[in-house]
Amino acid sequence: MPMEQKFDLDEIRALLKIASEADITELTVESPRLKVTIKKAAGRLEVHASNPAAAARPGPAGAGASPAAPGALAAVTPEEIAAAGETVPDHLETISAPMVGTFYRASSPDAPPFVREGDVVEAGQTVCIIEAMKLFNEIQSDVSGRVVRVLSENGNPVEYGQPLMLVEPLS
Amino acid sequence: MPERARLIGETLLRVDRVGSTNDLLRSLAQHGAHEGTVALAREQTGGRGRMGRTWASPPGGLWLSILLRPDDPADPRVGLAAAVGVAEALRRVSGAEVGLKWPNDLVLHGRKVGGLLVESVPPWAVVGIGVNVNVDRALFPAEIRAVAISLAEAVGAEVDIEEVLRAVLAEVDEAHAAYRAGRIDDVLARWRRFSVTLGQPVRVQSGERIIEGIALDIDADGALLVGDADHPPTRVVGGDVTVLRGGGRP
Repeated sequence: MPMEQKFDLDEIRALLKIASEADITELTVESPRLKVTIKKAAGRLEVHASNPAAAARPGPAGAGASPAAPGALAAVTPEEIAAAGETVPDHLETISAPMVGTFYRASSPDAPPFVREGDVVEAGQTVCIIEAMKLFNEIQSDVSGRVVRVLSENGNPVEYGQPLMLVEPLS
Repeated sequence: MPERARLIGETLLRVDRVGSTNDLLRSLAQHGAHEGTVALAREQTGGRGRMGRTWASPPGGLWLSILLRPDDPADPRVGLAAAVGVAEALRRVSGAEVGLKWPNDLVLHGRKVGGLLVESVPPWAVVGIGVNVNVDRALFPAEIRAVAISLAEAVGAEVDIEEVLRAVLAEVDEAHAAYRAGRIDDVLARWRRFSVTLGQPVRVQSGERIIEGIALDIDADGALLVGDADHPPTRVVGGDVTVLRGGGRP
């Protein structure tokens, strides 16, 4: 991405959208080419740009986030099946811990779990969090399918490669 | 040596009030924000600590998040490097001996003056930073008041929050650049120098498991090594670490 494309119209549109949705009453953006202040008064948005020429310059869309990295999908070893206390049928996929850490089913104690047994998840959907050293790592499912079993308890430590969930792929 | 282009803070969003600067930045990332974008709030209404604990963030503190795109957004050393930068910045601006409690709490006189929380949302790492610059402890809930301190309280005068902001962005930029350039040993060496945890007796609670021992060192991955004369070191990556006596006090 060229250096001069630090801020473009698409980003300002995005800011307006976010400002209108979020609990924000005033938002100022400072970048080398532009300073823009967005104020929300009685549900109305006002925009003050200090460099309208730069703001109006068309630019390509911002760097869209690439597709989320998939959660680790590993073949199930006999040891892991033993750890899970049951046999994993051939047609099920295992979502395993890609790192050592603490397993969380929800983003906070008050929030509903990302997924429950029986839920259908899309590939790329966040299914849990593993925390290590205050880094909260969102784990995504590699496959679309139905979560048939959650194998770890909320708040428990998990080891690298430990099976976390079993998913029945839906084709 | 050619001057390195600055990554962090070229684009800075200032909001008066927001639920969480991390959430704001995550939304912006989905809408195409660039790496290095910073979101700064005068006040957060839903700031988060570990395990969903709320993080009190009234006006007078520095509450910000930084959008980064390291090769491995799930590497906890991204947080350690940022913590080293923040500690350096606070020391430079205030002259106070700000230390680090593993992994990345900012402490002063044995009390908490700030902290960091990183969310890995591949390909992004969102680094949330909170520093109590000028907030009077009396404004905090009782349980926080007992363990908190502000920079202002430590130095005996109000501290210029804009100066703290500039220093934090510059020092985190520098520490993160070192991390990205593969100079991780430098970053960890600086972390050790600021540490108030190493050499202290600690208790680590992780789930139902409790480990007690001496915090011996951090390893190359930033994990805490806890051991004693009778036991080989245990590698700790999570849980609540309590320094059992005297830790963090000058």
